[in-house]
Amino acid sequence: MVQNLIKDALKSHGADYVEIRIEDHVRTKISLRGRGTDELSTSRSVGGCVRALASGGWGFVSFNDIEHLKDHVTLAVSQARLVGRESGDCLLAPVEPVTDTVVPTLIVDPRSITLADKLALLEEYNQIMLGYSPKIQTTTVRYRDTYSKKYFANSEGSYIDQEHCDVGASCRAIAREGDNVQQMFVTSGGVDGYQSVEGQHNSVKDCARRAVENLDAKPVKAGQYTVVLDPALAGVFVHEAFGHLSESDFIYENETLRNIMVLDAQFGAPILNIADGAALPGHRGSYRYDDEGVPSSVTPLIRDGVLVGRLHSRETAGKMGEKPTGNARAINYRFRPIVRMSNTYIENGDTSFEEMISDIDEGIYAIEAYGGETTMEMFTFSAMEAFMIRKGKIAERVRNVVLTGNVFETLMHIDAIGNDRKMSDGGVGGCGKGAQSPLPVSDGSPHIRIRNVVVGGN
Amino acid sequence: MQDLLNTATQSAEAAEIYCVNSETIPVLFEVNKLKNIETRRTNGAALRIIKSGKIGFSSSTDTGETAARELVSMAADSAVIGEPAKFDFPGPAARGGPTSAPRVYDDKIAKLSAGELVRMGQEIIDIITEDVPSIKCGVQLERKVEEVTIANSNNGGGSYSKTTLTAIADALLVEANDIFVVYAMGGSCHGDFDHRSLAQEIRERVRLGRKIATVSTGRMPVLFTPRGIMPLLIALQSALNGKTALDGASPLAGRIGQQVVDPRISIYDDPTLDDALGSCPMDGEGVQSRRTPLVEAGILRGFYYDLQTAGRAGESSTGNGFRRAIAGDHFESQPAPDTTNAQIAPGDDNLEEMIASMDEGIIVDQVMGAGQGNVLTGDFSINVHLGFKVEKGEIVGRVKDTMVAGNTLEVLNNIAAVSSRAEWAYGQYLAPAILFKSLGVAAKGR
Repeated sequence: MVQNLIKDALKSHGADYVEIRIEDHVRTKISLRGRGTDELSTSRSVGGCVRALASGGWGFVSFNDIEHLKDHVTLAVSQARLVGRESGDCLLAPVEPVTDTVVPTLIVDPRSITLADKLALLEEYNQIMLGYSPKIQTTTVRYRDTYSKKYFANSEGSYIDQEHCDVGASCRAIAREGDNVQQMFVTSGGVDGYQSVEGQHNSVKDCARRAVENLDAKPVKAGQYTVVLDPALAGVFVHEAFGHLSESDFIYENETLRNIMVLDAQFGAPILNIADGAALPGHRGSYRYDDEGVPSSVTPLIRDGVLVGRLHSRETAGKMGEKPTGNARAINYRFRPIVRMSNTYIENGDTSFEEMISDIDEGIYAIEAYGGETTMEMFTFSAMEAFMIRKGKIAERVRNVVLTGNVFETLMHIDAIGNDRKMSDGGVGGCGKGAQSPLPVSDGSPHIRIRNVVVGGN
Repeated sequence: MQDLLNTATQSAEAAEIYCVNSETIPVLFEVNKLKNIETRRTNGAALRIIKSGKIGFSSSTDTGETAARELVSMAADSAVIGEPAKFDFPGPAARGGPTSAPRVYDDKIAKLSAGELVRMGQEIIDIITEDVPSIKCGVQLERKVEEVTIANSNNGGGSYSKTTLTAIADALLVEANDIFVVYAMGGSCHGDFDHRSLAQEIRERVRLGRKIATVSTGRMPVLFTPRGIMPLLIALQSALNGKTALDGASPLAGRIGQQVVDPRISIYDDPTLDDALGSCPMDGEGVQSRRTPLVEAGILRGFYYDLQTAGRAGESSTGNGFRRAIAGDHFESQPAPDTTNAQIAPGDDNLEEMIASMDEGIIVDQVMGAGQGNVLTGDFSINVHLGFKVEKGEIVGRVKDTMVAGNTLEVLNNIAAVSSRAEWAYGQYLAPAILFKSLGVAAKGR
């Protein structure tokens, strides 16, 4: 039925290009907080959008009343003409039309688990944390699952029917002693079913232990340090500090920035290799087709320290004369697709963790991230947990470790890469860009060592 | 909607429907050029029920008859294992009482066309690039019209229409190895919103930042502009949240009536201001809006609450129950305590004199990493995204690769001066500039 509605609406639109996405998302959310249930709900979101290109300008309309699809096409085309008149110069890179159906392979379908059973599992996790120590002041346990059906069609003859499942959980322990409040969280999840959030009991208990132990950590002394990042934090680093610069919508219209992100330029030591790709199966950022109907791929970004690639939509690829990479994504039907990362990672090197820290006289071992942010060349990210490294050994706990720097200098300062790459797929959040957040992504890395990182502190 | 409420009430003790209908038109410029025009139309409804004393919740974008049955059955399913309700839905608002409903609707905004938004965006770009034509601007102008209706089985709730016009602009200047970004954000519920002053503000900050100054690591006086105060405000919003306090995770829990910060600091939440972006006549649970004192003269007065949290804490809702989703549409989320227009009251000091009093220090105007660290303790450690070095009372240039760190409650007890003018920052909150005596500053050696 949806297919007929879409095909009908794609007749005689009068634009150069039109695409229609119709989506149906069913989401379950559960949040526990301390000893209570904060949120327990099921929601259904059905809607669609039309994107039109006319005279080189874009128009976009999103809606919930799918039955008026034809009117929405007309509005999108008229908006596109208005943009086209002012400044239309958009050109789409050509891709082959596709007809395909994609259904996920789920080990345990979250729709087959009752709300009560989901709640019971989360309560187990919650009790483990609350019962760990009287110093655990409170907890939050958050769970989300979303089952999405997405229909994509465009005026070039593509018709793709994709289903996708995203499951995630995050358990946070908050420890308190007087005014000192410390928190840690652990995440789990994936795209292959509900089992990805099961069996987390040990890691949840460990989370409570780490929160309590962090109460005794001393605030880090500000300064410049050699820093070793664990795979999770290094993953956030590669996503935030470098990945966003690889999104071509950031540079395609801006000559100055294009001159910085120039292919074949040296960005790091020869040990550094970075890639992004939704075709890497089984991660939160994995998919078969992006929201422009372009097949996903794996794109090498840095090879032996040299910039070799970047992420594209059809528009940025068309403008820059490069190939689309299948990285045009929208968080849902309310938004147009923009260039986004999928699964971003630093590839394995050959230094073991022991070797990496052995010659550090005074440094910091930073583990996992509360969050990260970049603005152009600058980044900050905050470690959830950190230890001093003294005379080649892991020493005392420190807290409030926030790392900041210039992306280009910092990439050059990566001087050791481990052989233990791990991808982070858990949690209920994702990446934010513009108004579109959270988008499911995965990132990862082996341990890495960076020289001369500025660490904020008192 | 009344039908849905009736159906829901048949199988539950109490029910509430929240309906929203909105149309947003964003117009986007990239690199000084018009890029995209959009129209986003959203319909949705959320149902909350109390059944056998427990809360059930569901939402849908489809409000047709079959969808209504689905909504009721999904809510009933979650009520079986739901949290015990500690509140009743509010009844009808008292008639003839003092009316605190702010002005949040202007027909002028509702009638704005995409073409007019394009013209305003072009004006913003023209102003920003007037002095320095090599600046690349991104601009988003957006107008939104929203109708909200809340109805419950106690005959409470109501409906209102709200219009907003918002502008976000950034200026990017790349020179040699330096990437310099200034951004601003503002808006109003009233059509008189002055988008040009936003552009002028960016132009002025670009002018101040063209020269780069050096900073060395150490402790020094730091002045936060209203924009720069953001990370402190995020920590205060967390600490003053009734839910955080009830859990004992707030450093302010159990300290009502105590002096918690410098007596020059007062903090309010006020959804009753005419035309302000965060204003509304009622919150997302149909509780009438009011101004809530949180800290007065440094003394903790209270926390902000939604119905359920207030019920659990033995308090009353402060009209701060809002539906704000992290993922998906806002109506997909259950109400939780949230602020509207947060306000830090102005002090007595003159801003120019505050700057003149600094022998060596920095001004923090735009930050990165706000809300990223341990927000609960109020520890912040932020990258100064836009900041200025002050030497002998004069701004000598822009600082780079610099971090400022501290603890929110500690620094608010270490104040040198509070400026006499509060200004809107990002259209989100009102605050003065605050000068702190001594903060940790980390800078990259060059």
